[in-house]
Amino acid sequence: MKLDPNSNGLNRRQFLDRLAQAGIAITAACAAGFWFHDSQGPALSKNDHPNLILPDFSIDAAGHKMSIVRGEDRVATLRMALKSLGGIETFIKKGDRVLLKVNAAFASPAMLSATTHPAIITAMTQLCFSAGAASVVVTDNPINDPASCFNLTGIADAARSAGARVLLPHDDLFRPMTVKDAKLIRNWPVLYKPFADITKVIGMAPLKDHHRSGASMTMKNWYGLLGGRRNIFHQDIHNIIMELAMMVKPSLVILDATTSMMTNGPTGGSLSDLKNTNTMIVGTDQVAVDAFGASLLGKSLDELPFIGKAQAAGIGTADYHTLNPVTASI
Amino acid sequence: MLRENKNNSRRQTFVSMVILSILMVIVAGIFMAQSHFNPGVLQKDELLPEPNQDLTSAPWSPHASFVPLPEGIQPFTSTEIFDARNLSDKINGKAELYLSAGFTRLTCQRFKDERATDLWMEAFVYDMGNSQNAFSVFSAQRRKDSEALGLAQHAYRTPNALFMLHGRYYVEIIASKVSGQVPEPVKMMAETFMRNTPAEAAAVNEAELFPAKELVKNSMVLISSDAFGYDGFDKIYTAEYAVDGHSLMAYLSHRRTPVEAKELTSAYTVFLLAYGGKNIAAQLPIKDARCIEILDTYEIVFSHGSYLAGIREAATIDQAQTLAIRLYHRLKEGGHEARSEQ
Repeated sequence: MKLDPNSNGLNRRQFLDRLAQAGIAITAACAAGFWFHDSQGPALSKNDHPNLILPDFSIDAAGHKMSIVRGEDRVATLRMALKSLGGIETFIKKGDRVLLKVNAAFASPAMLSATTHPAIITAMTQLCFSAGAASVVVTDNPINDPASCFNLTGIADAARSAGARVLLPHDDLFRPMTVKDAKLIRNWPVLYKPFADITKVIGMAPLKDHHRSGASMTMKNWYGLLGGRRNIFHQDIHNIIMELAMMVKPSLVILDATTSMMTNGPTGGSLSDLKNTNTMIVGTDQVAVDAFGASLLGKSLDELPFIGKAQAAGIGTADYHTLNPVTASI
Repeated sequence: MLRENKNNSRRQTFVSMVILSILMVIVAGIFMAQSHFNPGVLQKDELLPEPNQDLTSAPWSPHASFVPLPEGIQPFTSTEIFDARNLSDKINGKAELYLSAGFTRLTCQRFKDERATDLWMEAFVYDMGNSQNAFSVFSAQRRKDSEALGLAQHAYRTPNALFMLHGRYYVEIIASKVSGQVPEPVKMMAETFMRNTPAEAAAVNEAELFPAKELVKNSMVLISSDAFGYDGFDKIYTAEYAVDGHSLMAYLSHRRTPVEAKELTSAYTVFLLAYGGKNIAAQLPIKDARCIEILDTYEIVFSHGSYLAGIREAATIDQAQTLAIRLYHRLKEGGHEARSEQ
């Protein structure tokens, strides 16, 4: 193709000059883009390990166990449930450093059952020490005003009165973590440091209705370990719960359904949202425990997809009957 | 030649302006993207929570109240304000309920009653933008077995709390304990708030359009979006009915035009059929009404003027038809008046 230099007022020299200038400009822009491009993403600080994972706190010898104890006294049902699983000594050994992950999400009074009841925190702490635990730490990340949440729920006093240490979610306790095979928890800040020197982890959750996920139980309880603007995960709530259950392999989980929040969860606010379901569920399989909890809320597993997803991911079984749960009443 | 150069200059100027405009749009886009950052790819420090108060901090200091207070009630903590961006920091997973209904701002604070040292209460004032949005969140959370209060058209209390609608505000006052002292301070706070907060009356005229017979008291709910799992259904009013020991639901929604109401009726019908519904032949005196059997229940969908309406979860087709006809007659009688009052 031959250019006609008279057709657009450009001669060959002018055309070549402009072509060269345009080429240089494009090359410079590309070079600048390449210069600024960060192919590695956010850099880790000197304290961050690139492949942080939480240790596996599950107890092989304990196997998959579950106990369901009915009764009005949550401390008595908790003690009986543990006894039926072989006693606290099955889970806590002399010298263990125990972390109790409670639900302290809201600065609301204990009577509203939006948070873990202080009475079982005291009881569980005492039980751990009686089995020889060297230390017990109680923690959660409520995001909004953690000090008020721990104080007004009664959790701080309950923990301290039994000798546990309350750990508030200070900045330096978080580390970016990536869960293997996860799509959501990737390089995301997690309340990691409290786990660093821990040998046993126990999740303690109240049974609640939840506007977004359908239910808040032991797996959803790990949501309180996330930092950052975690509310974006509400858009994919069932997968984030499944990934949290992949992230934490606890020694034991406790689902307190003595008084359950049947409606208007997770905050509730009124006693009329609550029902005395008078049940304490303790187990080593968080999927099975949640599957049973769903039945107390009157919800099917189809209504709570995170349970099926967790089972499919190999975290546990939704068919809790296969664990032959121990049942008792007080 | 001179003319050609002028033409070229104009053309070049035009092309240059276009290119510069595109570059400006790209720059603006980059700035917008930066302002809506992805928290997952930020530096760690930016992701972390704000510094927290130490648990062993000093005793509660005096605070200013965000509303005038009745005698004997004092602020216990400072005022907190949340917007759509951080509402979930306060109420976690329930934030979606408010956000989908048009939430604009939450103001909350805890107070103490000087006469009861161990009693505190927290007031939540949700500014929902308008009274319809406020009614939506009020009705969605209405507690059963509550006691109606005369201080507002939509207000009730439970053993430890008070819930009410005041213009565009949805208000919750929640006490820390149940005792003989709780109801009065909570009610006093609500009354003081109403006296000092101007607001238009929260009229819900759709309430008049539901047939009164066999209507379950206080069962009307406004669903802001995604009603019945169908994303095309927004601003749907529902009401529960108890017929021969069975419960069923009637619903209605005013749309902008009769055409829109009719089209939405058709679209919802298609949605039901796509999820396993079956068309049922029914002789109804309602033009273009559709009767569908789904999951062993019966639904009727129809439109009248600018109203979309229907029946859900009826145990028998007779129950569905009877209620549909009553609802249709109410819309014929009162539909126009209800809208003209708004």
